[in-house]
Amino acid sequence: MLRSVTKLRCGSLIVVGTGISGVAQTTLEAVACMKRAEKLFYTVIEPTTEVWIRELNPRAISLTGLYGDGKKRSKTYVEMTDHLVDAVRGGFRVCAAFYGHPGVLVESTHRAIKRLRLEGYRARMLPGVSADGCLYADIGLNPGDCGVQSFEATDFLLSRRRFDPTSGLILWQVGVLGETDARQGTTCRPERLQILTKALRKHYSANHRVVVYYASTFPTRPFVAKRLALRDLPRAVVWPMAMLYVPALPQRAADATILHWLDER
Amino acid sequence: MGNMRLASFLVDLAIDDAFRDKFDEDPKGTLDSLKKPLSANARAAVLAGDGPEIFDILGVNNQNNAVARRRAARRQKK
Repeated sequence: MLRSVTKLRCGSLIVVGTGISGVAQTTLEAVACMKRAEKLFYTVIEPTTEVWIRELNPRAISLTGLYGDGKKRSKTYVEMTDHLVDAVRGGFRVCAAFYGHPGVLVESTHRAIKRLRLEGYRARMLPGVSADGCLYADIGLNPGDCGVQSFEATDFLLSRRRFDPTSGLILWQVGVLGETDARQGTTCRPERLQILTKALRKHYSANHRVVVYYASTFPTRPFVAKRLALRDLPRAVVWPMAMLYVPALPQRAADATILHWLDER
Repeated sequence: MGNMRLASFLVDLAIDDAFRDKFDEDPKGTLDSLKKPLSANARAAVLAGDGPEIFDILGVNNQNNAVARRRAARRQKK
């Protein structure tokens, strides 16, 4: 009995990311964690990353099978969390590898870490390369210039998020706007893009150029940055992995009071 | 150590423009010419990752056609 309790307390979880384009974007610390894990779970989208992970750690187990056509994503995320938590409770040093950044739009990792910490286990997350990082690099965007606001697209509409159009705007998961389940080969419904366009038109002109962006998932495949006028967005084919970037409107004049204050210092 | 070979190959592909061009022109030939060949699994995965089928998995059908067409045309030219 005592042995069993000691074993339970020994379990731990480290969550890592494998980047968007896989192996080349995986950090050294993430590689070390995957190698050393007693149990390694992974969810990746690209075949070489999967083979590489399985060769890195023969104990690797894919969680991708938990997704299903027509199955609610929220159900899949709960099941993923349970897999991770159960393995740690079993006393194992567990690593979970997710494509991209493991904390960006991945509910199950945050939930697992929270639950495990509450139960007294060691659980942490290492950062990874996410799609917004690729966007900055690929289209030459410096978020320090005028700021960038970032929202999940469905949440942006549902919660009527307030934002400043003189900063850049990133909307994630535009391709699955309003979708609660996962289906292969679908694109965003035009009527939903119409609603999104209508919401954006309150702040931007119909001619405002937006970017439908898709990060490269394999070294031989270039990223896609399709630039189009906002008015044309409802007719665009927006695939599930795409994000929408809306460039900032012209900048406001600097605040004279703040400028004066800065001069004084 | 198959994973090191695959990782090294993919990093080369990511950062070495000349090597990527060579692979782009002739994926199988490039894989055959490696001094340290990849494992059969790794080789199949590389060809699948590079191939147009991956776009179906990712749900990027329109992109699939554009890239596949461009690449096929370039290979035919050779």
